[in-house]
Amino acid sequence: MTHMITRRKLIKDTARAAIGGTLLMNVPFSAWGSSPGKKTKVVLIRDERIPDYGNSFDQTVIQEMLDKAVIELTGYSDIGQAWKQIIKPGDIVGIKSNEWRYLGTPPELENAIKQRVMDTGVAEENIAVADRGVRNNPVFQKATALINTRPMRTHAWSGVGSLIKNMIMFSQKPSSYHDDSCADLATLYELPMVKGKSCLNILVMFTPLFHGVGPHHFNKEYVWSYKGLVVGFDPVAADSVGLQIIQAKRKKFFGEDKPLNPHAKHIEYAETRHHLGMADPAKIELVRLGYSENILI
Amino acid sequence: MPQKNAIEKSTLKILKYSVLLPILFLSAMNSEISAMNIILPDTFQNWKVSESVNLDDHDALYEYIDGGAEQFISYGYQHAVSKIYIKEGEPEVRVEIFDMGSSKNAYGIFSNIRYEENDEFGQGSQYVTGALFFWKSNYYISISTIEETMSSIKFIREMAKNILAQVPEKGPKPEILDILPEEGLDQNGILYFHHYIWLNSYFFISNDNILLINDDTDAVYAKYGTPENRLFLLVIDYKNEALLDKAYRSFVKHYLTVDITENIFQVEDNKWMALKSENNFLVLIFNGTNREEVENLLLKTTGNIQNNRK
Repeated sequence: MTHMITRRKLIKDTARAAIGGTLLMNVPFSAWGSSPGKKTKVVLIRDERIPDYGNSFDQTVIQEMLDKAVIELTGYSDIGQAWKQIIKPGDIVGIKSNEWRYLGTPPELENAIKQRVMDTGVAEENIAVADRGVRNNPVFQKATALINTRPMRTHAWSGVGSLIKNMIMFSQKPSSYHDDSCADLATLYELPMVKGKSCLNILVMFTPLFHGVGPHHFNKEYVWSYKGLVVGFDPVAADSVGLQIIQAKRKKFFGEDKPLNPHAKHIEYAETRHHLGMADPAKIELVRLGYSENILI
Repeated sequence: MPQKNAIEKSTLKILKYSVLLPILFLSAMNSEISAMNIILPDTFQNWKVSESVNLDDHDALYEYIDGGAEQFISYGYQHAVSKIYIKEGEPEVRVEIFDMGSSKNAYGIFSNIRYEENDEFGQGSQYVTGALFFWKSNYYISISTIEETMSSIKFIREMAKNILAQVPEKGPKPEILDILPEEGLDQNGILYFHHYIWLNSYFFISNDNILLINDDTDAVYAKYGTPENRLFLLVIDYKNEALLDKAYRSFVKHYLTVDITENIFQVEDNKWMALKSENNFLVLIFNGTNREEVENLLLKTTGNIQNNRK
């Protein structure tokens, strides 16, 4: 005789998930879209003109993609009006970038973001783009608004390098967030330099890294030309979308389920444990724009 | 003057533990790093070193590897040496030697990182576009370039041979690997570990350390069958019965909702699994499509445990 065993729900805290959770962002509640019963909106935009890894980008293409995504995200058809829902002329804006030598945030994207921030009336001296130097950057020290942008990639310890993880440079001691494979990275959003300031998240999926080898966890063999940007107010939801794409690519490439090693639990916990945003795909309204071939989600 | 003598003895003791031992430790560590430096010559076949880094502790590794240090630390990383070789008109080549403290840890980090394996270099190697990774004795070695050229590929292969010639002794693989039944084993799908973070490497089990894995428990994950029909075998050596019993109960409590009366049973997605303790080992099998294949693998595995302990 055999017994049919039901497995326990492994995400222990799911029941206490995000409804009524702590909202740390400065974006209006309606725009955030996490009121009970309402899904968090995330825009995935792709453009065939984005080149393969190692080639230079055309800033006009990136600007166009960013504009379309922000218009869709905010619901305003005028790009100026759309950005004014995100940034006010009096804001001091830090654009948190990522300078990983193998796959950093493209300068063309940084410039596109900066241009739109300036278009809202923010003075250029009140805008900074930085990664490792954010803690000592005078603009970031005074910032009233943060825009977070980085490429998604697999990561040897946290599963993926995510938008949430990109905030680690605001910590005095980044390695203090490494316990349990970076499970509690969402608490970075409680740091004084970050809390209440996150206003837009742009996950770069132009040429994501879906698998890592060697000590530096990079090889060109494992990047692919996805040609996308994932844009949202909720960093957790944007990361969750990016993560699903990476996992789908891994399954396709390896011919079987190949779990991330280690599992990217920090995205899951950002919802279930820290109530920062929505990781559960069922709670995310994904809007797909542009090029649709091999979209994987 | 007995009091003075006592003070002198006590002072000597403090000096011994607070000054001399760290000096001896540092001196031993420095000699190991020096030995690793000698393995990597300043010039080699018209390539010369442009940059050299000694990584003598965890902080240095954090600084050196952007984001990957913990993976090595989870496998007992001791120290490392990194050198960049250059040649006019060629892309630079980075050569890194990691002393993992034991051959089982050197194998472990290799098994964690490799996707496919061959025996062309050292005790196991993988080549992926411009990068060669291999292990031998206590060392894990990476030789990589960002751009493949005829010359850089030749350098990578020749440097690998040069390193291997200077590390003559092989090291044993972890003993727990001997327990894996041969039939149906995917040779590229073996992972040795002793940190719970790697528990979900092949098959998701839990975000938490529900199997109580620690530095003293050896564990091996293995893939059987084909991508279309996979069985995942996990064997953990707790080395003592009390911890084994605690881990067994923890797994039943956190992973299953009811007590089990058999070693082989069906779970909610109609997959078959096995759970059995044998001597000080825990054997788990996941993702079976039928009872027979799970039972067959379980019998062979427990048989190997019994034979290994004789």
